[in-house]
Amino acid sequence: MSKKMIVLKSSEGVSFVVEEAVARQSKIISFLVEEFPDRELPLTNMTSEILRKTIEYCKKHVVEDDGGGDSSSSSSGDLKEWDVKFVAEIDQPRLMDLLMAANYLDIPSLLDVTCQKVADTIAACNDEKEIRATFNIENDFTEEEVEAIRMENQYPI
Amino acid sequence: MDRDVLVKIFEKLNVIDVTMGASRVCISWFLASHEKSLWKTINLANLQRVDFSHPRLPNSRVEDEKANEHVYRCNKILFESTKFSSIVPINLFFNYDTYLTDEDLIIAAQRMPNIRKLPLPQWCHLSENSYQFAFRQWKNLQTLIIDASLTWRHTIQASGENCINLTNLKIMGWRLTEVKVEEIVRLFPNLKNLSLRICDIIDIRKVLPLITSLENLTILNLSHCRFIQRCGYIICSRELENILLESEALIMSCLNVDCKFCENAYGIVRLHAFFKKNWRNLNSETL
Repeated sequence: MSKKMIVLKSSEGVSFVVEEAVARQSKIISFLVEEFPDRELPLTNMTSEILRKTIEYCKKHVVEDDGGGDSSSSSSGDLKEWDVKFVAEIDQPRLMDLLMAANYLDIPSLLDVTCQKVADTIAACNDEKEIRATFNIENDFTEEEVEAIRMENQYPI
Repeated sequence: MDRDVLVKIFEKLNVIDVTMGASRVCISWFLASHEKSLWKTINLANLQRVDFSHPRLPNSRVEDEKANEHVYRCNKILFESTKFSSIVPINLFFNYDTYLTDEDLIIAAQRMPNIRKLPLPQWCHLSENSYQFAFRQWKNLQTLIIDASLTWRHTIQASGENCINLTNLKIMGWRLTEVKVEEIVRLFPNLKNLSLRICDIIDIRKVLPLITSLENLTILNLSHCRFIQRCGYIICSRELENILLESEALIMSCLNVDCKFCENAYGIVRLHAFFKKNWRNLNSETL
C-alpha cells in the first residue's frame, strides 16, 4: 500500500508534498488533516526555507509504523547527535524562525531542541548587552526604569 | 516573542543567567523572567559562576567583586533570585560545596518561606539562632537532607521543633551513636522516610529504637553504612538481617555484601564524589 501524502504550502506559494506520518508530528497539522482531508494546507506565516527545514526535521524523527512495534529510523543516541548538528548549522535569525514555527505547528521535540539552542546561546553571552546584540533586540528600558530596578536591586548591607 | 516561548527558553537557563542576564535585556524579557513556573525550584547545585569558598578565609576567590564580576557570592544569587521568584520556591538546592553563612541561611529563609525540600550543603557550621530563625520560617518543610556537620545538633533541634510536616530525613556521613538515635526519635516522631547513608553504626542494636519508636516509619534506608562492633570493624549482616525480617518498616540496606560502592569506595576522594552526587536524591527509593 502506498503511503498517504499531503501537501503543505509555504507563504511564497511553494508546495511541499509530505508523507502524512511525517507531517502529523505537528499537532496542528494532525488536527487539520483530520478536519480537512485531501486538501492542500496553506501555512501562510512560514517561508519555504523554514518549512523545508521543519520537514527535514520531521522526516528524521518520524517513527516508522510497520506493524512490528515502534522502530524509529535511527537510535536515540544518533538522533540526539543529529539534532545537535541540525540546530548548530542554522544561523541565529533562522533559528528563531524555526523555533516560532515549531511553536506554531506544535512540534514539541523541535521546540525543545531549538529552545535549548537559544538558551545555550544566551548562557554563552557575557552580559545583557551581548545578548541584545546577538538576538538583535532593542533595549526598551527607560533610564528611570533601569535606575528603579537598580535601586530595588540594592543589596541591603 | 511570545511570553510562553520566552518562558520555555528561560526554563533551560540557570538562575544566574536569568537574573543577571536575560531579565536585563528588555521589558518583555524582564516580565517573562517573573513567570512562576521558572521558580518552583531554585537550583544552585551546578552553577559554575559561584564563589563557594569560605568568606573568612584569606584565599577567598571574590574579595573584590569588580575584579571578578562574573563570579557571585551565594547570598547575592539568593537575593537576586527572590526578586523574581517572590515566595514561589518550594525546592532549594544549594551546591554541596558551598560554605553557607548565617546570612545566606537567613536570606533564604526570610525570602523563601515556602520551602519544602532542602538539602543543606556540606559546610554549614552556623549558629543556633540562625537555624532556629530559618526553620521557624520553613514550617512547610517536608524533606531535609543534612551532611555530617559540627552543628548537627542545632540543625536537627531547630528543624525538629519547628517543622511539624517534616517526614523525610536523610543524614549522610554520621557516626551514629545512641545519643543521636535518641535525638532523632525525640525530635522527629512523625518520620516516614529515614535514610542514614554512609554512616558508621556503632552496634546495630542501637538502631532498634528507630524501628520500634517511630510509629509512622515506612522506610529506613541504611545503604552503605558500616556496622561496627566495639572491638573493631566487622560486618554483621546476619544479625542485621534478623532485625530486618522482624521489622514492619521496609528497611533497605546493601548489607555491604556484593556492593560495589562499599567494596572499594571507603576512600576519602571517592566518598566525596558519592556524597556530592547523592545528597539531593529525593525520591523515597533513593532517599
